[in-house]
This record gives sequence, structure tokens and C-alpha cells, in this order.
Amino acid sequence: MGIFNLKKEKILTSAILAVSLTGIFYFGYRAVRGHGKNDQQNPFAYDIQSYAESGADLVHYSEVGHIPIDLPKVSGIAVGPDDRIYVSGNGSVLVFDNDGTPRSSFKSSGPIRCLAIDKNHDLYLGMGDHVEVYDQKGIRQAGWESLGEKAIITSIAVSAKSVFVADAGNKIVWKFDKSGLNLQRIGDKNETKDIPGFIIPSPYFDVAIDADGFLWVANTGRHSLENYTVDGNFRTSWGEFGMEIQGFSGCCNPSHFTLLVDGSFVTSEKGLPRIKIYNRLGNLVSVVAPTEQFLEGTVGLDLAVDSTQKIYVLDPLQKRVRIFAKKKS
Amino acid sequence: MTGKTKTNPVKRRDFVRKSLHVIVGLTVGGLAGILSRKSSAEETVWQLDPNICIQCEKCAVNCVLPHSAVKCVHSYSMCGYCDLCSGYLQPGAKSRDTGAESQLCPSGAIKRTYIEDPYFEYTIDEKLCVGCGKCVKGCNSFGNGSLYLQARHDRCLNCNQCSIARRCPSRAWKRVPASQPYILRGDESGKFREG
Repeated sequence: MGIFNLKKEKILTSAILAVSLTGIFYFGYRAVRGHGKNDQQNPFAYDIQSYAESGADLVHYSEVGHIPIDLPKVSGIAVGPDDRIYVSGNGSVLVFDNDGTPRSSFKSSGPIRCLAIDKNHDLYLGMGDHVEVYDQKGIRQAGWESLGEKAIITSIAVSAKSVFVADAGNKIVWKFDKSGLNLQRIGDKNETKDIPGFIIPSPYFDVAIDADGFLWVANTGRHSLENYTVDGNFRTSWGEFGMEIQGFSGCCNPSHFTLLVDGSFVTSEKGLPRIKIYNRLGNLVSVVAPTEQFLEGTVGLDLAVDSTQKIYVLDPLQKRVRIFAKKKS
Repeated sequence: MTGKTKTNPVKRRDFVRKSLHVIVGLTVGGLAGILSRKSSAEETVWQLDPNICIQCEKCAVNCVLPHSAVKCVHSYSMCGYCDLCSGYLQPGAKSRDTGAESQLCPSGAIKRTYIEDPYFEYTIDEKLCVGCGKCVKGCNSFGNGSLYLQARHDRCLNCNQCSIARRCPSRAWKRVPASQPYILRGDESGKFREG
């Protein structure tokens, strides 16, 4: 009986020891590997990383150079008829040759939000609520009327006779003649004319003129690019929402766009900063720069194209003009 | 007569008594000064600066209250009233509706109300909001930042050592005058925040 009890006690002791050791090893391992805390998905994490990685197989462009911009804040870029690059910032315009050599600079009467250049080298600067015109030497030629207290001028496009001004505050495109006479509102919602109206949730609202002289407008809240005649008649539109590479992401994109000589569109987005090329029909054909090429928090990538079809991207976070060219196949 | 005048030496007891009077007087005066200075200085409270906040989610879990005093607030003057609200909908939501699987908020604290095509209004139910800032991140990334976080002073205990502020990686917490306890965005004219 005594021997049996002793055996039982030994077995019990061994079992307790074994359980204790197992527990020590298990919890020790979890502590060292950090398990237990991170094995649950964080319900508060806002994760868009998977979308940032899409489209890697469509990258047909590479960054071939950059121009550092010595301004406290950069806002807009344009390429002139002589392929010179114009960059606007707080209250200055910097001019560079397309190889990045600084040519000149001048100060404006106030902070500049956007700029455009016509074939006569006249500069049209969007100054918050009004447009100012400067000549090539940086001498102020004119200051146009204010578009009202709500006006936020975000983009300007210039044709041979007219100047189109995108106003994100009033959610409208204004048409001026070159003397600054306000001619017309374009884009007011009108069901009989099939005009959907602009939905502009954030202050990014871009316009451009294509090679045929038609006006293109980024209706960001509808994730589309809309085409109008210069008289404001709606012609067509394309574009759709999509977090994947084919679509325009978030609430309101594309934030900026420009046109290539063949009528293709170069677009940039915010939220998921990425630059893509769509053909004339609105089909995605190339990725110029995927999200991974930009710092987190990059917004407002203004775009311009020169006569050799190099794409100039104004990166406001890195304060540089980044130059992209098509890869040689 | 020797010509010398005998002066009364200060007695030890008098010296100690006078010294004690001086010490007590100085102490009482000093304390009164400190108290009067404190009472004349403006009271301050803790607040989160939305322009510095990086929506790291720490506000949700580091408040000493069982439900964080930090809540999402909404600037209606800035809001775009988007159908596709990146602060309301999951980034990859299959449909733009109020289905739980479409909503970004882990606690369902944002209410979506149809106004007119294609606009929707978004309101925050503070009882449900946990202050995680997930919606704020979505709105800041794609929208214009009309959703942002603030410590709500109807529940904040205003601890001397705010446990959220101590853990804030972006140092977005600061003391602000109690008379202006919030750092608000937006304005009457509905101007956009510089993006």
C-alpha cells in the first residue's frame, strides 16, 4: 500500500512538473515571438496597401531626372511653347530649361495656386479668387475681376482666343476672353442639355484644351473627365470609380490631368498617389508612376508634358519636378 | 565712568521668536502670492490639434475613460456630401449603401442620410464613436479632411497628465484656453482647407 502511494505521488509530481514546463515554454515562446498581442487584425487600421501595389505590370515609364524647387510651397506647373518649365509657389514663378537649368524667376502680387501659358508666352496665374496676367519677363500686365468670395481657382487652360478658369469653390468653369472679359459659365447642371454638373468635394479641379480645341474638365466627384465645346455644350465623358489601377480612387479623382500629343490623357490621383495614361477612349494603357514612388501623404501632383512627350510631375511633398519618359522597349 | 555704554544683548529667545515671525510671514506671503497668480492665470484644457494628428488610433485605447473622450467631429461647411464618402465606405466597398460590410467605421457611428442626387449627409453618433480615427484617415487621404478628431469636453476629465497625450506619436496634443477648448476646421464661407 505504501509503495503504491509513493508511486502515485511520483507520477503526480512528474505530471505537475511536465505541465509547468510546458506552460513555461509555451508562454515564453509567445512572449519572445510577440504572439498573443498581434495575432488579431487591428480593427482601427485604414489599409489601402493592397491597392497601392496594383498595376506594376503596366509601368512603361521611368523617372529620368528631377528638378529641385527652392520654394516654401509649390502649387502648379506648366510647360511653355519653347519647352521651358514654369513652376509656381507661394508668390513666385520659377522658370527652367527642360534640362533643369534655372532661367529666371519673378514674384507675383500674392500666392499662386495654378498657372498656364499661351503661345505668346503670356502667363495666366490663378491667384485664389482672380486671374493675373504676366508677360514673359514677369511684368504684370493685368489683374482680372474677382470671381467672388467663394472662388478657389485651381486650374487655367488657354486657347487661341479664350481662357478657361476652373473654380473649385463655385464648382464651375468660367470662360474669359483674353482681355479678361467674363463671357460664360460652363458646367452648370442642365438636364435638357445632359450636363451632369460638377461635383467637387476637395479643391482639385483641373481643365485642359485638347488638340482639336475642345475643353476637358475633371469632374472629380463623378470620377470622370468630361468634354465640352468651347461654348459649353456637353459632348462626352469617360471614367469610373475604382480603387484598382483601372479606375479613379477615393471620393474625388483625378486631381490633375494633361494631354499627350496623340490625345491620350495623363492623370494623377490623391489618396493613392499614382500617375497613369489612358487612351482617347478612356482605356488604361500605361502606368507612369505607381503609388510606391511617392511619399505617404502626397497630394496635388500637377502635371505637364513637353513637345518630346516627357511627363513633368510636380511633387509638392518632395518639392521637385520629377521627369518621366517612356522606357525604351 | 568708563565712557562705554552697555548695550543689551539680544536674548536667544527673542531672536528665535523674531526669526520665526519672519519665516511665517514670508511663507504666508509667498503662498498668497502663488495662489493669487494661479487664480489669475487662465485655465487650460487638453485638445488634439487636427492639423498635426496622424490618426494613429492611439486615442481610442489610451484614454483613462472606459470610452475615449476623443470623438470624431464633422465640419459640415467643408464636407463635400459625397455619395462615395471615403470616410464612410470601406476602400473596396462593393456597393455604396449603409450595409455593415460597406461601412468603414468599426462601431457604426456614422449615419448616412440621402439629401438629393448625388449628395449624402454624414453625422456622427458620439455615443458609438470610439475615437479610432479610421474615418478621419479615409477622409484626409482622399477627401478634404472635414472629418477630424477632438477631445469632447463634456466627458474629458482634463487629467494633469493626459494618458493619450503622453503616447501621441505626433505630439498633436496641447493645452488650449478653457474658453476656446476646441481647434475647429471649416468656416461659414465653406472655404476648403489648403490641401
